[in-house]
Amino acid sequence: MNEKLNLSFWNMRHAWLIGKTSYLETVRMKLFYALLALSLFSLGCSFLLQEFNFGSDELKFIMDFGFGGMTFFGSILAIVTASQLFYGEIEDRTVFTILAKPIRRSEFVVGKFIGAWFCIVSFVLCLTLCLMLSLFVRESILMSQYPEVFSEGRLLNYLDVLGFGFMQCVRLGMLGSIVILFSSYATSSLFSIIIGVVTWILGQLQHLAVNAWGQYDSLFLNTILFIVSIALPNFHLYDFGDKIALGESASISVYLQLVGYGALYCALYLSLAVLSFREREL
Amino acid sequence: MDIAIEVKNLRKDFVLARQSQRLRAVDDLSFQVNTGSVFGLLGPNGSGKSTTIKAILGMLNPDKGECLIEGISSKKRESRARIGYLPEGPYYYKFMEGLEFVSLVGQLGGLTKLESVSRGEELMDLVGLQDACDRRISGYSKGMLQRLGLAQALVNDPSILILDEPTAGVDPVGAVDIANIIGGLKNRGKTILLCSHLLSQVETVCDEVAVLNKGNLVASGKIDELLVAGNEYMEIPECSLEATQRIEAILSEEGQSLVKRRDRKSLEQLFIELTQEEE
Amino acid sequence: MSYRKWTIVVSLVGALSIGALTSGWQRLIFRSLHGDSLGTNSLPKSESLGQGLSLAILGGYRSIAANLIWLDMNGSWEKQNINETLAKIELATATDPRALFFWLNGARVVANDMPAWVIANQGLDQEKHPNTVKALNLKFSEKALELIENGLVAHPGNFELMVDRAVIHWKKREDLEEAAKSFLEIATMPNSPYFAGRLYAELLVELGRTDDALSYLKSIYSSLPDDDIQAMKPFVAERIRQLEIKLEEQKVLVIP
Ligand SMILES: Nc1ncnc2c1ncn2[C@@H]1O[C@H](COP(=O)(O)OP(=O)(O)O)[C@@H](O)[C@H]1O
Ligand SMILES: [Mg+2]
Repeated sequence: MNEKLNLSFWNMRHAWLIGKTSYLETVRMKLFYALLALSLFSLGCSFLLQEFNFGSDELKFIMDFGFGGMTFFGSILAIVTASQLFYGEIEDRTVFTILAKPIRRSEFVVGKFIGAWFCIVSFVLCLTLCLMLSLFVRESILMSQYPEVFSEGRLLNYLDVLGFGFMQCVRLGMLGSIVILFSSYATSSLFSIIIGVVTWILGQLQHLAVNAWGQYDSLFLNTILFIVSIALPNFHLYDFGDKIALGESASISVYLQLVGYGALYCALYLSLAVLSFREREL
Repeated sequence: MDIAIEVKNLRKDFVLARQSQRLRAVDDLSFQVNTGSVFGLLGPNGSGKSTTIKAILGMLNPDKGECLIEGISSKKRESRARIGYLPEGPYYYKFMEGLEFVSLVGQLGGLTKLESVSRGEELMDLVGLQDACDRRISGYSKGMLQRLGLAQALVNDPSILILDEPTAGVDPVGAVDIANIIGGLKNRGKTILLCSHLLSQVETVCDEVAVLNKGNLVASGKIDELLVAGNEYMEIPECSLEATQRIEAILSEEGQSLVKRRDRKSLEQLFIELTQEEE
Repeated sequence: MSYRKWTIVVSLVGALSIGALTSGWQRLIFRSLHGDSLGTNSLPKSESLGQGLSLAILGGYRSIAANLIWLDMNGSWEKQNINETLAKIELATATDPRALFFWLNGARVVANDMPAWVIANQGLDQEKHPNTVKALNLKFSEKALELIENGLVAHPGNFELMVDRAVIHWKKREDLEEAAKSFLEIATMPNSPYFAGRLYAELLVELGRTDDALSYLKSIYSSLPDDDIQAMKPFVAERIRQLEIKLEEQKVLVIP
């Protein structure tokens, strides 16, 4: 019987349904639009503020704004949605109706991740497309003004802008899965949000810790640095916007490795989240 | 008779956050719900009713004892395959529309999208929410939420229904509606476990009850057996004034007198009569 | 041990072991993206922490934040407030170390404007107080050189920064040895501007090492391209001739 079959195997349909619903929740959230509007507004400002761009060229200036929206507002979105979707559901007690159905806790966790990630992807995709459009318009204007600079055609590689956007989705997905892991332990959503922010910042600084540990005399400091450098993923790997702003591109192999690295960490954090959520009382 | 739900020596302690003290929410509780019967779990607020239900649904881990649904331990996911649950509260996804939500629950229980929508429409009709199908749940009143909760509990056509305070926050007319729906479900052979602190509402539908107080079982059994009669009274039928006076005279010889009482409608009854005339 | 504590331990162990397993891999990815320059970040300095923090918190917006700080710095500059200006230059460079503009102009403000402000404010006179003026120039040069060194960490091998460094040694510190060394360092780098080599030779002449200057110019002459006006090949040839004459005269002078 169909019903029996669904019960004995890990049911992707359950995760998918929960993911779809969670995604619906995020895009019906005011925060999503507020952050998107802020990011697009700042991108628009990059057109108006062109006289401020000291020493850096105009396209890079616009790109800084676009990438800024993705990383700054994107990380806020990732942390808040992951925490709201996962811990918020426990806090709001909506989880009872769902978990009273014969679904696995792991299906729930994966579903929540799917919802959060799709929300991140929608956000980053909107921004990336708007950024590409802005860059294209600006570059076209510059091309007509300074044809000699653009004698070899466009300077920017737009596929790489898209690729960079996708890498931000991977990075923010890692962040979302960490927040889900923390939420699975948390007893308040504020806790998971604060820990999420701290992890995000430490993960960006992880590469510094890698270089620094062992260079201090204090055993305590070295231990802390060692733990930070090993226990956290290197979010800084995904900061290659400057390279793209210079018209350089990253190789396919690097893109694949970045996706693989991110996927590995997401899998780790989600497995651990399942482990802790499985026995969690509601 | 088959046993639908069995609770054996259930004990649940909560660790209180601040003190390292423990709160015993349920203590050594045992009862059985027979297939096809309506079982009421009664008790004041905080007596452990919801805790018991969460243990039955596997949302809490018992400190001692166990819960079985149709012989399957609550720890197993399979035990929840044929259950409909109305949580206490009620709290549902505010961002969804009513029918959308019922359909989601149906799909999580194994229905296809199409099935879940048509089944959802039927049920929204049954609980009287046919006009609110595509309204956001955030705009529902408390009574509407309870009805919605009933609809989602029924969407997978479960054989066992677990209802946590189904009439909380509902007006008396609504409570009667809900009681009627429950009665109808009982007639269709469903097993129902419901809990409530409003005893009068439960009385009419329950076959059996268990009464909890501070986590302890204080009484249980068939409802007729539990409601042991108080003083016995005799009624004087309509008769002449003379007849009444003679009865009083006889009584006064024995140093007694007639006790006069007037039947009083309950406020609830009055409310129901008044509002139903309006319709 | 409670289940909760057990999962915390498992989580820590899991995160640490995956981290240990991937630490080589992530370095590999980093290198293929950025080359060695940024990956092998120098010492754990408070600056690199500041840069990392601004990147972590602001992401792409850090360049905008840095620009705003720089705009704000202009206000302090107009008021000739040394401490404020310096603090804001340092903040701007720390917030967005990628912008060469901040390093270069920051160093110039510190080396040129700041001593001038002090001299003007205290009514000092180059003629009357040469030692005080020199001490001031030395003091601010140190700060400016520090800024340039940090700029070179963010922009390794940047000629503009290195030329400014040499000029500060030359004009501000009046340390011709150091200045000559700095220009030579530039001149020996591939694709460096041609004037570095010529200035190195001139500084050697100033230092009285005419024969060294001559042999240096001779050594680079053949490698100078004929068709690049920047290389000033005819000028170099002329200079070689002048120096030869000068050396001859010196010999004549020495013999009697
Ligand atoms: N998660 C929890 N943590 C701590 N105490 C709880 C928790 N859930 C319930 N309790 C306590 O357990 C007791 C029983 O609660 P409950 O079962 O909800 O009562 P009822 O449903 O009968 O009103 C109450 O004193 C309540 O405060
Ligand atoms: Mg309750």
